[in-house]
Amino acid sequence: MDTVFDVDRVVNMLFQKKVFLLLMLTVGAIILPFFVGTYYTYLATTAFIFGIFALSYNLILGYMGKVTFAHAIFFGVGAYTVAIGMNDPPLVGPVSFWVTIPIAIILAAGVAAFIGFVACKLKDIYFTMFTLATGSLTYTLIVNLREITEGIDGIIIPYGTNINLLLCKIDLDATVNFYYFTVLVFLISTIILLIYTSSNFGRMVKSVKMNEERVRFVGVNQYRIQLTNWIISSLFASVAGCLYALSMHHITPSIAGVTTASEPLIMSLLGGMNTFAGPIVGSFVWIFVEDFLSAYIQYWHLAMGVITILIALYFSEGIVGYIKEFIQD
Amino acid sequence: MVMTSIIMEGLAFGSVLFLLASGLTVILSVLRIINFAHGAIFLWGGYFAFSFSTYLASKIAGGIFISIILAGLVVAGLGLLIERVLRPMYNREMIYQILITFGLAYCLYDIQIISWGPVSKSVSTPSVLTGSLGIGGAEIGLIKIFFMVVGAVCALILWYTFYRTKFGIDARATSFKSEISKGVGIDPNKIYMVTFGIGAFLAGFGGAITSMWMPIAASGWTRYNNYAFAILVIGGLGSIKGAYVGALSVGILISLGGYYFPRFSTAIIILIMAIVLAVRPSGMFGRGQI
Repeated sequence: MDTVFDVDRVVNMLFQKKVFLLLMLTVGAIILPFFVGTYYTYLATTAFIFGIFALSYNLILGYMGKVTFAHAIFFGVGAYTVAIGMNDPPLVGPVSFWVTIPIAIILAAGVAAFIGFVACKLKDIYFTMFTLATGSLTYTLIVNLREITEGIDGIIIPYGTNINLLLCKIDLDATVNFYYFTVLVFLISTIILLIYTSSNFGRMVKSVKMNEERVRFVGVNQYRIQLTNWIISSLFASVAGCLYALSMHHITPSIAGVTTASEPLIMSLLGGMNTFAGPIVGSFVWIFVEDFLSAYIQYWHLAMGVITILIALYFSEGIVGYIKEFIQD
Repeated sequence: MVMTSIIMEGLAFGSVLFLLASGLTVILSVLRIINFAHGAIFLWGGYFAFSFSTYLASKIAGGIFISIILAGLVVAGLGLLIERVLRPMYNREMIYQILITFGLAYCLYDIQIISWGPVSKSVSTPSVLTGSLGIGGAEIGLIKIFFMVVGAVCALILWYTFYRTKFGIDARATSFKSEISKGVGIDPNKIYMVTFGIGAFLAGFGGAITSMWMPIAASGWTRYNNYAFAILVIGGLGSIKGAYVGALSVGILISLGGYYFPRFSTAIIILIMAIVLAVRPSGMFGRGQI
């Protein structure tokens, strides 16, 4: 517990398979827009955003072993902070994107600390029911606090978002520009999370999942560990929410609700919740499947439900989990 | 005056919510599965009652009552089918149990939209129940009194079934230690099937009688899920008494909140649920088993 950041382990990690795969992913992400049209670039942007979201979700699902439906709250906090900030809020006027992101992250951490204070004390079923309740509570609050959130209509983010990055002015409304910006944020988040999950602290989180009692015997406060992990995962969900708001240009209260929270859950399970890369793979597969289904099938909730049931029944290790098993055999 | 009618309305709605929550609590304590599809099953009952009553209401005397009972029975039958899907999950981790019932809820939602359309449906109130009764200076609709009676009768029957019959004793034994109960000749699969059927019947029947009072729409499943979970938490998991008292208190809170803070009536319920979870997770009468 005393050394949270272990230099040796980080150096070792640089030579691992994961880093090689990450480099492959980076190269693939950079060359992708040269081969596909605008629409698929846009879809890939969404997949990268949900990749960050699902990665942060898996800190709770895979590393803590708990199912939460409150994660969309942090996503929604990020999205609404950006939307309100760029929409000429009273007293301060329109705020730059670079200012809203830190505010969004701090706000999400505050909300997460508030919810986690109760949630992290609770056991399986109670934890899930509590997060479900807070998720729908947030949805109701966003719908009803019309003065701030514009209620059920949602907020439209004006076009013309420019950011200054390394002295160049970038117009984020162009799909390709925004795509590369998302990839950049995605890679930074992934690297931070990779270091975090393989640090001593990340291992401690996993050990609490495996045997809570033994961790307590060693003299570690498991509540504090879970709360910290919960807050850290909320930060990345908030970043994903910021990007989502910029990408969609229109956000509605449902993005903080339970339906949004079930998306990273399905992504993590589809990709494999016991692996690091699972949520990323799951996000890509799910976004493209969802796009396909909603284009060809009117009732895609049904298809989504059937797929979810099939995953739960027959595909519990997820895509990455099965690939790993296959390679090891 | 106003207070009396608010409380009466709360008791009536609470009695409906009891039918919803008691099914959930019975399934949770015997099958050890938290059924996220319960709100959708509840609404299914309302839709079936609507369909049956369009055929029966004009043809037979008391056709609406018959269609409500029929709706409950049909939903119970479909519940047995759902239980077949859930059966492989009993010994799995909770994550997959939650996932499969969530998937089921999505499926039921779309099945309802496909079958009955997105427009909300309601059953006309039978003429016997259209009158009202003066209680404490307030006019209370007969239909609300009917709901209260139905809720109380169902609570008594449910209590009798689980505490005074052979099936109830077997079910409680299975819920306590399924391995040992198997050793004394109880078939857990049969117990699970019948219990899920009872839970689905209660939900379907509850949804059916609700549709006489307020319109039913498929998109309401999360709202009813929240009500049911709030009742379970406030009353205590796995207790029929807790579900009854919890349902009535939640009903009164909803109607009080709806009168004083109409925008935040759901929020108040969830806030109270959060406080109960933080202070006393076992609720009022919770024991963890039925």
